Amino acid sequence: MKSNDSPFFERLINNIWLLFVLGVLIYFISYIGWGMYEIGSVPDFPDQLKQETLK
Amino acid sequence: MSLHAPAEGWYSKKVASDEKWWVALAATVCLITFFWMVIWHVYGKQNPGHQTYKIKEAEFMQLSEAFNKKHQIGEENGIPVVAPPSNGDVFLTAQMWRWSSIPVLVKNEWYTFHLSSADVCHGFSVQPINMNFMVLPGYDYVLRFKPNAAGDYKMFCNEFCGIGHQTMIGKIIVVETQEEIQNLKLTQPKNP
Repeated sequence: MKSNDSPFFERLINNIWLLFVLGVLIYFISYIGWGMYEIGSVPDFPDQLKQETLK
Repeated sequence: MSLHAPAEGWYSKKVASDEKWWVALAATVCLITFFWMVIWHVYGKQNPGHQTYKIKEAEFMQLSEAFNKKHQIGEENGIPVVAPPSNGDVFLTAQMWRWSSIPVLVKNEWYTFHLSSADVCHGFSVQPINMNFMVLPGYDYVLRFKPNAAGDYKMFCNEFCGIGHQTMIGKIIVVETQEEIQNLKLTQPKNP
């Protein structure tokens, strides 16, 4: 067991489960979350171009 | 990776100089490649435009058919050959297992391609110049395009799209000048 005297970052990085959760969470947010945001923010096809093409 | 934490006190130990050099080298490579992406985006020629629109499959097919009807100059194996105006829009639908038209383009003129699929995910691969893009149903992928060499280019589907996937080969014709379009030997459409 680690003593409480060790530096905060040593205790943090020694926690493999925390690193595991961060490893999954960070990539989930940056890849899947960002991708979902991108898909959700795609605009509709412009009406003006639609009318011009169908004219 | 070890499941056991290293011996207590490792955080306070001095890092060896060779390890520092490797970390610095890795960080430098990361920074160079990161900034190279940005530089390429600004100074690279003919980067994809990153413009996409949402559109229903049936609506896009309607636009694609209207475009073909407006600009058709002939046909090849039942596929309309179309000559869009310079700086104009080109609507191209991918459908199992064909492309909706054969565009005839003029060298060094800009065109705006609108790519979409009527059914499943397809790939737009222009060879031999090796341009590759995904074509998805429900989305219009906009691609600004300036052909810089005359010739016939093949359009392959490079996403497996079913039993006839390997037969899904289309064509883009690039001519030197606008006048050359009139001289192309094309079959006239049966139902213009």
